[in-house]
Amino acid sequence: MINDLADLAIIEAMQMRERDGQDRFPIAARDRRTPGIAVRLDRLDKRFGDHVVLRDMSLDIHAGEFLAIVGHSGCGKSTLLRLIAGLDAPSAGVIELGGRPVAGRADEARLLFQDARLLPWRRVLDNVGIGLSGGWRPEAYETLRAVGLEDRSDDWPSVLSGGQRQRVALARALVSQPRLLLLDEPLGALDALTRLEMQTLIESVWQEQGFTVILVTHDVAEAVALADRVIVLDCGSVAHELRVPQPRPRRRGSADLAAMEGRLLARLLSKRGDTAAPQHLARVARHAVF
Amino acid sequence: MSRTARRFDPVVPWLLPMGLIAVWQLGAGTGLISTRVLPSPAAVLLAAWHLGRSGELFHQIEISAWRAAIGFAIGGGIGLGLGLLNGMVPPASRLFDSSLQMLRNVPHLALIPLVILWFGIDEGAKLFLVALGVFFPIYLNTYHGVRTVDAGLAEMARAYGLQGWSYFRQVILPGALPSILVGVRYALGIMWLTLIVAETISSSSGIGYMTMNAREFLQTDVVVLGILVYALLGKVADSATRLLERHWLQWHPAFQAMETAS
Repeated sequence: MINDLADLAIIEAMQMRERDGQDRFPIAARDRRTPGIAVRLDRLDKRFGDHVVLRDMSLDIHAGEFLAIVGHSGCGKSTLLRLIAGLDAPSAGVIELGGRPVAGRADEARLLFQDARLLPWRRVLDNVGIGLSGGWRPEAYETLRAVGLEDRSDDWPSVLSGGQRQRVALARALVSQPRLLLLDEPLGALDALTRLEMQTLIESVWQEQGFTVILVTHDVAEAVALADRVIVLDCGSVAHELRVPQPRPRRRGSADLAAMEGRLLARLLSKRGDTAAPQHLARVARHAVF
Repeated sequence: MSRTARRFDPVVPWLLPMGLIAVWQLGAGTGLISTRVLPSPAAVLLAAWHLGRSGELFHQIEISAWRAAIGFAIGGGIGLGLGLLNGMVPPASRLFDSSLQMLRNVPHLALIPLVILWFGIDEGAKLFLVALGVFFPIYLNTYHGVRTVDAGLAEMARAYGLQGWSYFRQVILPGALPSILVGVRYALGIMWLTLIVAETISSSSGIGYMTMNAREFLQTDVVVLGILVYALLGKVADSATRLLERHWLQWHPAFQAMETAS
């Protein structure tokens, strides 16, 4: 069933691409190609009080790479994205974007949240142009066209579907031509079909614009289908790394991808079996005594 | 709903008041209700006509409305300012909020004896009372509105480079606005209530003065007229807020639903 849906979505996306030709992102093509930016994390620590979220984490992401990070919830994935976006400061260690250490909000980076976080009191087009100044309207409209929502530019966000809101949020992130796109499980709340459409959209934008992507996700299949490299984050540091060399466009549900997905899942589940479960059981047992 | 039922739909809310007025007129006309107790609706209309022709009615309405507006502007302005300040600046909130929460529990009308001693029965006394009464609902709702602005939206705005004035204007203020407008509607009710009491107790002009004066001369028709004028002014103020809500909160799903329903 899921594979059928995947085929459908891919066929549809390919038709869409054929229809639109090279004009999906006319602004980017016209003005300048925005090459990706390299990200380097060096011995990163993040603590909230006594709670250690990231521990001694080092990672190199080269310019234009599509990196996916998977891991259990609460393993520091979202915190990592916030640190890279400059929304929060690390307790120790350095984050470098394009060789320069991050201090405060990183303007080259754009963050896409799990929920779209559109301002409900601004119309769709104004939401895309948030934080921009000058003559941003034509550009915002073009970006909205690129995600296929130009006819909704004058609507309130409350009348859009979940998938449409997330596409507006994507347009909002893309309009400033970021060199690094940080995706914090942006597709987690969408239904299967919308999700596949969004994945295809993100992949095609990435291929056209060439920015760096860091995608945080729960969905191992999604990570394997989209990323050049998948990182498993566990207990605040990199536990496993997997390259996905398959050429694009990738066919969902192919044997190669399924095998990789299986390996990653086994890795994630075994980790949980070794360490987390006994602790958890011990806690339950303590509660049972009292 | 059938067609005939829908045709009478706008009439339905008026059935009860119209019926009451009819019974009232009938009772007063047949002498069942003494005019000392309650004048007939016709007598009230006649009083309105006389006072309106002499210009006194409008003069008094003007004075009362003026007091209401000035008192509301002062109290509401301070309430809005403090609410925004305390909502956005935690140290200010720590300094002011608990004291204000304590004062809030003092009924402002209990201050009337003191206020008369301070201001006499001058304009100042009435403006002070109205401003004080209006202050708290606006302060509380503004504060609450600012504090409950969606943290996710605030983070998004920060990530997209909004700060300072544009952050306030695009995120904080619109996010707090639904709550602020609730405060405004509460405050309007309190504004008229305070003014009625203040004008009835100590005044030499205004609607309240007009009705108290009429009581001395047993002019029940003028007393009832005064009450009706207050009701009317209250209704006008409420409708004005509704208009503001409809304009400022048109993005709000609740108001969109209302519009499609009406």
